[in-house]
This record gives sequence, C-alpha cells and structure tokens, in this order.
Amino acid sequence: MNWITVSWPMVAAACLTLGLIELHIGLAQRQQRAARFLFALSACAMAAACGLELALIQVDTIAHAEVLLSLLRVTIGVVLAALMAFVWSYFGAGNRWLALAFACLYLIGVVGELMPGPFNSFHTTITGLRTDEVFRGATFTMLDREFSIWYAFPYLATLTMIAFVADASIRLWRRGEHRRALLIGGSITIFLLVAGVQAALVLANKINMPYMLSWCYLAILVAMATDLSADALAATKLAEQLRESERSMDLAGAAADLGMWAWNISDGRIWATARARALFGFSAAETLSMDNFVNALHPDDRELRRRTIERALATGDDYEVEFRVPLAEDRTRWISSRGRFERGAKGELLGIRAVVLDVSARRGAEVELQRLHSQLAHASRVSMMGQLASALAHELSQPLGAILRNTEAAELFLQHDSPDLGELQEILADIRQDNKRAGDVIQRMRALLKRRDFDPRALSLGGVLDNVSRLTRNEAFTRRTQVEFDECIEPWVVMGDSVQLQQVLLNLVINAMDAVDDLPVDRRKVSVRTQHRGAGEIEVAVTDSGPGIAPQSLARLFEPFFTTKPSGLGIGLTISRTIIEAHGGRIWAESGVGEGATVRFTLPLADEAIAS
Amino acid sequence: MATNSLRKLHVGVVDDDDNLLRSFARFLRAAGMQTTAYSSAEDFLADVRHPRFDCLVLDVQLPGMTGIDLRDQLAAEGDPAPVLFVTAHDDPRAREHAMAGRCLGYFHKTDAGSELLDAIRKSAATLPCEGNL
Repeated sequence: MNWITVSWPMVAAACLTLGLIELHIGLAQRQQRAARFLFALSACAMAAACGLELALIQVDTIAHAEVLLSLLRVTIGVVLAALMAFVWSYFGAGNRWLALAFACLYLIGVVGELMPGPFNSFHTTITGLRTDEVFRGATFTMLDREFSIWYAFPYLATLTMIAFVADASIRLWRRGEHRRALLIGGSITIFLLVAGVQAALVLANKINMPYMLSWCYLAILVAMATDLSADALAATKLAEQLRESERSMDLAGAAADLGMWAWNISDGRIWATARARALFGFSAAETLSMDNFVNALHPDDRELRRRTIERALATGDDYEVEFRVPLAEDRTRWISSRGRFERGAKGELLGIRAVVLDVSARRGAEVELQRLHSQLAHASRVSMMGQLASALAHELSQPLGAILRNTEAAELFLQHDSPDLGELQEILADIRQDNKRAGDVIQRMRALLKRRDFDPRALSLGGVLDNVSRLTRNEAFTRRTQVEFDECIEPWVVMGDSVQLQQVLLNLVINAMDAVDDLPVDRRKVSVRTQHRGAGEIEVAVTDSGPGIAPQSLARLFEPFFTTKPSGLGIGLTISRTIIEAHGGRIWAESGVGEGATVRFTLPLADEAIAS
Repeated sequence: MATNSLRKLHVGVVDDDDNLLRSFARFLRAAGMQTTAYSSAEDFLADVRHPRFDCLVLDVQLPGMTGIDLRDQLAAEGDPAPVLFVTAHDDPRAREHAMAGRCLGYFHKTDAGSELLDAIRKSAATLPCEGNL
C-alpha cells in the first residue's frame, strides 16, 4: 500500500460522489435535468477511468496493458462526449460544427487504434514495460510505445473541444451569467489543457508519471461543487424570503380582510390563507383541492364562475367574479374573487393565484338600495296620482253614468205596454261592456299605485303614450292647457316596465303643464313628440311654451330635492332619470330663458336590446 | 213618471263618449222624446238640416270646441234652444262659466236621470238657471 493506491480511489470516490449528487438532483427537479444527468455520466465515467488508470499503474503484462489502454481511450471518450453535451445543455449554447468535428476526430482515433493488423500499417504496439519506475516514492509501471498516427486524433479532438467550450462560455458570459461561464467553462478548459498536455507527455515518454487525467478532473469537480453550493445557498435565502413575503401577505390580507389562495397545476395542491379557508368554510388544516372550492359554492353560481374563468383563460386577463357561499341556517355569504393565471417561460399554465373578499355587506346594501328606490318611486307615483285624482273620477264617471242611463232607460221601457225585448238585450249588453270599462280603469290605476319591483317586458311605446294621454286629458282640460300627443304610427317596441315609463312621462307632462300655468290661456301649449333616432333608439320629447329654465337651474334640474315650485318635492326628475337609465336610455333638458323648455329621453328599441 | 209632457220634444245630445252618448239617447227615447246624437260640437254645427231642438244636452268636456263654447256660439247666433250641461268632473271654474250664460242646469253624468227629466220639463218656460252640483 502506498499513496498511489490510496489517493487514486479517493479521486474516483470524489467523482462518483458528485456524480451521484447531480443525478439525485436531476431526478428530483425538472429544471436542468438533462444537464445534470450528462454531468453525472461524465463524472461516473471518469471514476471508471480513474480505476483504469490505477490498474495501468500496477499492470505487469503487455497484453493486459493493451486492453487497459483501449478501455481507457473509450472511457475518456465517454467522459469528454458527456462533458461536451453537458456544456451544451447547461450553458444553452454550442457550436454544432465543433461538436461534430470533435466526435469525428475522436472516433477516428479510437477506431483506428482498435483495427486489427493487416489493415493498419500504423497500428501501435507496446514494446515494453518498465515496472519499477518511481514517482514520488511509489513504484508504477511505464509503457514503452511506438508512436502511431492514430494517437494524434484524440488530441486534435481535445483541441476542438477546448474551442467548443471556450465558444460556449463566451456566449454564456455575454448573456450575463458571469459566474457560471468563468467557473465551469474555465475549469473544463483547464482540465482539457492540463490533461491533454500530461497525457501527451506521458505518451511521448518525456516525463516519468502515470496517467493523471482523473486528477485534472478534480478542477471540474471543485467548480461544479462550488456552483452547486452557491445554488443551495441561494435557495435557502429564497426560501427565507418566501417565508418573509408570505408573512407580509398574511398581514396585508388580514388588514384588508382579504383571503388568498393559490393552485399549483403540477401537483394539484392548493395553498390558502387562514382567512380564505374561513371564508369558504374550510377547516384550518384540511388538504384542499379545486373540487373543495367548487363544491363550497352555491350551485346556481358555479356555472357563472366556470364561464368567467374560461373566458379569462382565453384572453389571458385576470378574472373577477362574485358568487354565494351557503352557510349554516340558510344564511348566505357573498364573495368577490379576483384571480390571475401564472404562466411559465413558454406560456404554459402553471397555476392560479386568487384573492377573495367578503362582500355580503355591499351586496346587502345594494339590495337595500334597490328596495328603497322602489319605495321612493312608489311614493312619488302616489303623490303624483294625488294630483290626478280627478282623472280617476272622470274616467270612472263615463262608464258609470252610461250604466245609470241604460238602467233608467230599461225601467222606463218596461213600463211600456209591449217592451221591446231586443232593445232590452242591447241595454244589458251595453251595461256589461261599461262595467268592464270601469273595471279596466280601476285596474290601471291600481297598477300605477301598487308598489312593485322593476319588471321589464316588451311593450309598445304607443301604448304608454296613450295611457298618459288619457290620464292627463282631464287635467289639461281643467287647466285650459293644450296638450298634444304624437300619434305613434310605428309599432315601436321597447323592453321596459310600463308603470315606470308611464310615471316618467306623467311627471314630465305635469311639469310642463305647471310651467305654462301662468301664461294666458291661448299660449298654454305642451307637446309630446316621438322620433326614431339612429342606433336603435327612440326619443320622446316633452316641450312646453313656458318661460324656460335658467342655466343655473338647468344644471341642477335632476338633483334630488331641487325644485323651483313652492309645493314641489323635487324628486320627480331624479326618479325619472333613475328609471330611464335603468332602461338603458338617457334623459336631459334643453332650454333657454324665454324660449320654453324641452325634456328629452331616449329608450333603446327592443330588438337591439334583446340582441345585446 | 209623467212622461206625457215630454212627448214630442226633440232633444239634441252631444257627447264624445260613444257608450254614454248611446245610453243618453236611449234614456231620452225611453222617456218619450225624440233624440239626435252627435259626437262633437263640430258635428252638431255641421248638421245644418237638423230640426228645431227643444232642448240640448251638452257634455262640457269635448274635443275641439267645448260644450260651453258651443252654448256661447249658439247664443251669439240667436239660437233659442235651452241648454243642459252634463259633465264627468267637478271643476268649479267650468261650472261658473256655464252658469254665466243661459243654461237649464249643470249636472254630473252620474246624477239620477229623473233630475235631468225634471229640468227638461221646465224647458218650456224660461226659468233662472238651476244648478245641481
């Protein structure tokens, strides 16, 4: 036992160790997997070469030596080829011509060396063994050889490889990865140079040393080990930073009452903050999957959420959706969720990251607002109808009066000697008809006075105008005002709530009549005109011949509680605007002092509304 | 009901509500009178060949020319026929305007028919206006 028999195996062990470590990492991580496998191959092959070198040091027959040499040549070939492929993969850069040249040259060298006698006049031979050379106090065997041209090829191949590695390292340097280019590219180049020179010198018998290619490989081992430990340190730091940032996010989330969750596609696992778990009703520790989330939702909302996410997936944007999570005892929690898709370098989907917020309070407030609005609209209608009470009385008087006359006529006819039964039948038919008329009037009034929710359906604008015309006819007569309603020749159909639209038009016509109250009778004029506007809209314009609206009032016309009338409430126009806008239209006023005023509103035609 | 005194009287009725017009004419016929019915003041004036009316029953609220304006125009033309107003609403101003001129009575459409017949019966003599509202 001498230092040679101890140290060569140690070098082999070092190669194997690092090779196995890289193999392990390559198996566990997808990142740089090919490169790590190739390096492992190179290191393990070098360990084998190390073993062959040791065998050569102790060889004692020429035949044995020849076999060992051939094996060594092939093994080194594997080491170099694997190393070259490793550089190509790890650096992501490589000149394919140099690689090809290397492969060809080395192969020629190996094959030529192995060719049997007659074909090869350049076949090399080992002419002798010197078994008692001493290198640093230990004996080893040196080979005497005749030089052969085939020996040159592996060295040419090595030069080619040096060029390849240098080229790849420079390209990596230019990409900004200085440390890696210098450390790994540099160490491989050193290995190639020193090993190549040492092998050449040993071959030419210029020095008395065993082959020490494996020792040169140590340079690469050190470089790779440094690279690896740098990665490990960076990973630890990143992990710490990650924990730090998770703690910050938790704090931010808690402060804003946000829940956060993330879904990783590759393993299907979901990470969620405590708040997110609480919002969905999950326990603090249970493992979560996407199914848990979907099942926590209200069944009616699952489809909407799925479609929203699909649409966002197609466009690449974030998605935003609100849905219900049913709680115990019939309660419901409204949740607003905003999510973002995480994509890899090649655009592949890695996962989803989302933020969730409890918006039950806001939703509840919206519902409450809607309810209050309905109440207010109703109150406004009722107060308006108070002004038109005479309209009700008038409209009912007609049919009731006719019924009375018909009844009295029947009584008188029956006192005749031979009452005309035909006439009596006509009387009864008329009474029935008038009774229905009276019923219809009451029904229309009841509809206007009832509290109800916004109930849009397809209706004819002409019908709305007719109803309002009928309602205001009486008032117009009483006030000696000329009110003209356009005859709607076209059957314009809009999607809307008949009662609410009547309310708006009533409000505008009454306002217009109020505006002309102080004028002399023959100048009191109100007109209601309709026209078709492009873009599938109808416009209704209520014009009065009054004194007009001053600019400062015009700007505030639709404000709540703004009124120029001493007995006005000031909510009629505000509510009218809310109603028109809920129908998808616009309402505005035009006026000049002394020029009268016109209030216009638009409504979308039903066909367009249905299409959109 | 004493309808004999009403026989042979010719009454003109003007009302824009078809059902009411028909029922009124029928009622007056049942009471023994002869009636001619018009849907508007304009139709009435356009009918130049109408017989002499002993009485006119006019709806106050008519499209176009109102019943009261028609009464005023007839008075200006010197038409002697007495006018009886019926109305469906309670406008004090219209009532004043009606009573300002010659009229037999100002009735609501839902008032009992007997009151209208009484008023017509007195139409032979020129009596001061009787209001009923």
